[in-house]
Amino acid sequence: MNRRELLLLALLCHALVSGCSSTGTKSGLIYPTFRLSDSNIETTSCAGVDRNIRQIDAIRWSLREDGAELESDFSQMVQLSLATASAIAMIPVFTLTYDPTILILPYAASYSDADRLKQADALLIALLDRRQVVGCPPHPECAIGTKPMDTLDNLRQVRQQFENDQLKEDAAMDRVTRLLDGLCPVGRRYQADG
Amino acid sequence: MPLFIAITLIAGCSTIRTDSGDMTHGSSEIKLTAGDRIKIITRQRERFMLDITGIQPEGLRGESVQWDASGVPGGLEFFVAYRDLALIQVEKPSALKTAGLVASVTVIGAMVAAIAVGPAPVMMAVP
Repeated sequence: MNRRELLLLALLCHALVSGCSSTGTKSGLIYPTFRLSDSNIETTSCAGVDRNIRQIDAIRWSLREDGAELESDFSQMVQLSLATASAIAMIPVFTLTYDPTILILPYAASYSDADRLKQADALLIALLDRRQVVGCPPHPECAIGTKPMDTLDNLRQVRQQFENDQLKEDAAMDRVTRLLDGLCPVGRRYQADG
Repeated sequence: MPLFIAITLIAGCSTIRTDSGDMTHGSSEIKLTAGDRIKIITRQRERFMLDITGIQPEGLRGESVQWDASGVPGGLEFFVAYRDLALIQVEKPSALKTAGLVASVTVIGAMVAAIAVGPAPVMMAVP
């Protein structure tokens, strides 16, 4: 087998393996990663917390529209295994090109929208906690601080049930997802001018 | 080298940049001009693709472009306030910016070629 055939075979293997962990989205949007910094949150005012909640909620909503779902630890392990398999498949190409990015790329691609969704969820919950600690007034548009339907209380209930083994991981993730999906329902709709 | 220039050109003509506030990685200041095509997510859970027609102190004015992920028909005029923006991605810079980029890459390419090849032979006019 000559170099060209080897290169072709390696690229084919890579395409096959990476096809299983594609990161493309329906909308073609490239989503940012979220920064969860305690010090950042702890110094944020009620207005700032609410502004960030609306922003992260909107991006999270778009991620969900594109089909993002939370993944269990097992699913994430499978993704990592696929990335490793993909990197191994690229070793022949690496030996021809000596380009180390070829081996790193599969791992970068394995950072999925599920990871972003997980980060967004964690950040939203941290911001909801912050709202309660500071004693912010009920949010006028989102289901926050409006008992008895308060999202934070319901999220805590889910966490407690999961910790007490009353709820399996998949069911707990599903309920958290649904609760956060309904956090800030659609507000004002932009209308075309004229 | 030709491959690198081709990739640079393609990337330059369809650069996607993201601006999404202060709790996300990868946020950056973006300079928009009329003619840029952008995708946006608003804080009201809406998505639009717009061709910017005007930059105003309070927000952006643009004409919608058909985008399946949005559901908004193309050809409608919208004004979106900056305070409502949750995420912006520049899909395609204006034709003017792209032309400028292509021109500058061409000039740089010509300079590199001139240095690599050396001075062109000069034909002396014979009387």
